[in-house]
Amino acid sequence: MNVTTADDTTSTGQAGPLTGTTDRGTWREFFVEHAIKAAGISMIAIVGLIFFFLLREGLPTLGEVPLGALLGTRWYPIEELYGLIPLVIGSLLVTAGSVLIAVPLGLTTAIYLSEIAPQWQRDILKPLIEVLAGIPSIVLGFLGWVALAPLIQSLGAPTGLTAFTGSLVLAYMALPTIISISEDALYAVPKEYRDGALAIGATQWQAIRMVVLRAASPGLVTAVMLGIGRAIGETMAVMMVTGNAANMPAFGPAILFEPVRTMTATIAAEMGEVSQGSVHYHTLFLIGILLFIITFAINSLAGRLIGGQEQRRKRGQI
Amino acid sequence: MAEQSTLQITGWNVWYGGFHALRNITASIPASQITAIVGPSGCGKSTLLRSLNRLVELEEGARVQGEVLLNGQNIYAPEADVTEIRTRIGLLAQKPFPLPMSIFDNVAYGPRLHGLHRGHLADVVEQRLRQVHLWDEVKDRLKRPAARLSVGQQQRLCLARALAVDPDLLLADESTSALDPHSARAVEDLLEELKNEYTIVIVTHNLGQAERLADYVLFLWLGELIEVGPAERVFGQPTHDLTRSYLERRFG
Repeated sequence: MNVTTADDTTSTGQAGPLTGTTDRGTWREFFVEHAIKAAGISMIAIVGLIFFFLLREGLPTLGEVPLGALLGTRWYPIEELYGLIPLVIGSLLVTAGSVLIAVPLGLTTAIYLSEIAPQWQRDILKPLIEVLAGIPSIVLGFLGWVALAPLIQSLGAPTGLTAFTGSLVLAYMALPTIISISEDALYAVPKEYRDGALAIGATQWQAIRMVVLRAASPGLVTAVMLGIGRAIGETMAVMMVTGNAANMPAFGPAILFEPVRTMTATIAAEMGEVSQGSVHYHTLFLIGILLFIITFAINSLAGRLIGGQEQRRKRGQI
Repeated sequence: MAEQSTLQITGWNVWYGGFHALRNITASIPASQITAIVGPSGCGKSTLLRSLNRLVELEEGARVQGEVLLNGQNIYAPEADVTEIRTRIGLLAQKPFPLPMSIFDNVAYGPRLHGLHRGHLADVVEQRLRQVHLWDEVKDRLKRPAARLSVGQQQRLCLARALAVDPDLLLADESTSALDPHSARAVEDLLEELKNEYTIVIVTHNLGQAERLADYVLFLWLGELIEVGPAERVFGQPTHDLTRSYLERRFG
């Protein structure tokens, strides 16, 4: 038993337990424990409420607009045309384009940084990538508008504000995430793996391709998924450079060089103009639900891929 | 192996940045014997070993000077093909690091890399796994990931992997220090068996091991080669005070 201390004079009346903790200690325990619990529960509650709100505002659309109309190819709310397809295609185009640009560029940069670059280049490049990550997305959008769009127009597109312009800007935004996470993953591969491969006479590239990339693959998948996640949810920068035309793009080789409008941009642009409770309003929320589902699917896919890899690694299968 | 591989080190220096890690080492390593590099920690044993297959130059800020002749050819000559040299020199690391692939693929990795043994790769893998006495333990699970083997088995697998590209020279960098005594002894016995076919160089902290295995000894002290000669002579009648005190402290 501990001897009681002066703390007892400030006792709040609760009996200390047999372990001899003072009342104040008990109270502190109680308070901290419940504060943490409350924080955790409120987090769950907030997510639940967001989801509930999203569903409550978005689902009525399904009763107001026939499903066939929602799957239509024209988004023109003034004439009560709520076809979501052009918006979904717009988002997919821009995101897919940005992934196609950012993933190879990001992975190769990470490989260069962790495997090939001499120390002094690493010392310069890594902080630069941090800086790139810190640029507000709106600034990138601004640069896209002022610098990229004219460039793309000069390549022969009817306008510089296209899905491709959006892809470029988004790719730039996703790059720092992809680079720094994959670089960490590559860095974590033990040196002995490389030595082992090199000592058998592998060239540096053979060692990287067959051993290092394989060993780092779970981290690389995470990097790519987080990059995609960042790209699909981005709004303002994309809104500025994609032309904001909610048209069906003409399918063809130049599909990326047409103006589009993404789901996120639609919500941002139109939310301020709709009257609360209208069909248009509900439809915008439905778009929000769609986005939510897409992002959730990507995240859980990433989680599953990584989880599966981790488990196989723990069982020693990799 | 019909051909006796000899190794001659001449005026060999290594710097890491400003640190002079190896000073003017000259020694010849006899063929078809086990040569042990011994000495206190940080004396440059591993650096010397890693000089022999040109892994040392991958360290940040490493500079080298001098010659290492393998069968009369300077492996540091500007026209030397570094991957070809490393293929001729097998390395067994301190800890086993099987490549992140199956048992079979680990052994087949080198031959595939160099396009060797096309068409009868399975035979080669079996032969090498038998050579390291691993075949009977793994023949039913060749497709399983190598990481599932015990550490001792992994080390023998790494040895099979190194042997699969038909090296002339085998380097072992404290290769038993991470193993339990039983597995360590198994690897020692293997090296003993292999010395008829390969020239072997080991680095070891374990003087008992050096005594058991080595035919020839290099004693390093703070980057300098202090004493070199047949193991019996160096361990029995060391001529240099430093060698004597090192041996006595360890044995005494």
